[in-house]
This record gives sequence, structure tokens and C-alpha cells, in this order.
Amino acid sequence: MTDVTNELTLNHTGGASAGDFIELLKPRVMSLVVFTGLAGVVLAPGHIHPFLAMVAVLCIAVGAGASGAINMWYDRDIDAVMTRTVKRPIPSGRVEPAEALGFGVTLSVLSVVVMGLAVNWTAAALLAVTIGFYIFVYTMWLKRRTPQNIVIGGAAGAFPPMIGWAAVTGTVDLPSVLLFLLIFLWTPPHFWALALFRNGDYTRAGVPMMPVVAGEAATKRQMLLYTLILLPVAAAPYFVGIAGPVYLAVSAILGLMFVGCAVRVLRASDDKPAKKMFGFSILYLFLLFAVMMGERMILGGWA
Amino acid sequence: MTVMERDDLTDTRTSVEEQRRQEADLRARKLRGRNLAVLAALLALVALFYAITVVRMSGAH
Repeated sequence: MTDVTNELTLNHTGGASAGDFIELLKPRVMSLVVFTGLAGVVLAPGHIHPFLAMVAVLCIAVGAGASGAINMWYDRDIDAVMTRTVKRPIPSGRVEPAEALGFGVTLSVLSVVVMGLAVNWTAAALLAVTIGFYIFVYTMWLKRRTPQNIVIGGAAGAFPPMIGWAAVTGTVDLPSVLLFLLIFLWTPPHFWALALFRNGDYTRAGVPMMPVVAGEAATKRQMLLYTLILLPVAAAPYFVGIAGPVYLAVSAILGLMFVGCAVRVLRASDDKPAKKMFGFSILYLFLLFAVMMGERMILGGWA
Repeated sequence: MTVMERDDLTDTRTSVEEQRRQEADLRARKLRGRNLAVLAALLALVALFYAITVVRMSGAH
């Protein structure tokens, strides 16, 4: 691990720029986290000062980014052999591993402390659990050991709406658990679609992703199963009163389209449907939360 | 050693020095950028804590 990064570092001069540190925060992953965290704030009953709501979303974003930086520090050896990740700041030698770790830990602590002091300690505790879960449970424990890595580890990415909700209410309620479940069950088909067309990368890195361990056919069957389970779970926000009829219709249509994607992937012998499903999965989650928030902001109220 | 070989050596030395100078410039530029980013982050943090205190003390949360 160290040999690879040291060799790369020696070949690279100039040091890290501020942009390299921003890249450590995985801005693209962060954008979805910010969006779902904001959804939690918008959908929760009760009132929060707009500035404190902004601080809550900022803390969620910084906490997610910080755990991403620590993940890059820990995974620098496998990042160096995967095409998708080889240009990241650590394997390309632009940032020293210790710098990334220090940066990640500092921001993690800062995001939790600010959340606690400015918003409330329930949201701060949930944020701390999210960061800890992503680093210790997913990155360090599960990722290299089991093909269920992203199934269980997916919980880390599912926490943001729950944190946003807790920022307003100070509690963990059934609707926020449903929002958590929605992202939790969406994660396996989303990541396995990526793993199907990046299979070579994961095999080379020795990461036991489902397609590498169980084979493509078994993975595709499980992806279909998860999209089917998602259908009623995605509709559930309507039944607990945090979403309206428009959301119910949109979730049914998008859910059926997601199932359709999984069926096409199951029947396919090439990568194309998997690539399409990966793209659609991002749109699917984005639209569900956008419609939920849109309906809430336009119609207002809370059942 | 011929005169031509000596000229080649001088050229090589000059280009190595030039490369080092460029690398030093690049490093200095990046360091300056990083320092400015840290300054901006610290100022933003101060402003953030100030605003949080004002909002919380006003009891508007």
C-alpha cells in the first residue's frame, strides 16, 4: 500500500492545491447527500430558523465529505489500481496520505461539533454515527471482506434525510426511517449496476463486489429483487403523510421504470443496460426527493 | 572534450536549472493558493460562529 503511493508521490512535484483538497471531499457524492439531507429538513414537521437549516445541511455536507477523505486515505492502495479512481489526489501523488487523514478527521469533528452547538445534539449524534459507520463499518470492515459490503454499508448514505429531519424535530420518527429505507434499498441496485460494468476494476483491486464473487447472473437477479422491494417502500411516504398524490403517482411510474431497467439488465449480455440503469438510478432518487419536496413546498402543511 | 560537447553540457545544465525554477514557481503558486484557501476557511468559520451566536441568542430558532 505504502510502496505504491510513495513511488507515485516521488514522481510528482508541486504539492497539493486547494482544489485537490476539495476533490478529497468527493463533491459529486456530496451533492446527492446535500440534496437528501435538505429533503429531510424540508419534509420534517415543525420550524427551524432558515439560517440554522442551512448550517445543518452544511454540516451534513462537510461530514459526508470528511468521511470521503478518510475513505480515500484508507483505500489509497486499491484506488491506485482501479481505472475509475487512479486519478484521485492520493494515488496520483498530489496529496500525502497523512494530509488527507488529518483533513478528514478535522472536518469530521468540526461538522459534528458545529451541528451540536448550532442545531441540536440528536442531529449531531446521527451525523457522528453516519461518519463512523462509513469509515469503520463500511470502509475498514465490510468493503474488502464481503459482497454484502454496499448492502450494509449503504446505511451510511441513507442517514442524511434522517439527520435533516432530526435537525428540525430533534427526534427520529417513522417517516424519517422510511426516507432512510428508501435510500438504503436503492443503494444495492445502484452500486451493482456500476460494479457490472466496472467488474474488471474491482477484480483487479480484490474488492469482493457481488458480480466478482457471486457472478453476474446472481447479481442481476438480486438487483431486480431490490427494485421490486423498492416499489412499496418508495410509495410509503404518501401513506405516512409526508408526500402527496403527485408523489405517489411519480414514485409508481419511476419505480416501474426502475424495475424495467433491472429486467433489461437481467436479459442483457453486454454492459449497455447496466450503464443506463446506473444513470437512471441517480435520476430516480433525485426525482423522488425533488417531487416530495416540491409538493411539500407548493402545497405546504404536514399531515 | 570538444567545444561542441562542452556547449551541449552547458545547454543541458541550463535546461535542468530552468525546469527546477519552473517547479519552484509552481510549488510557490500552489502554496500561496493553499494559504489563501485556509485564510478564507478560517474567516468563514469566524463568520459562521458569529451568525450562529446571533441567531441562537435572538431565540428565533
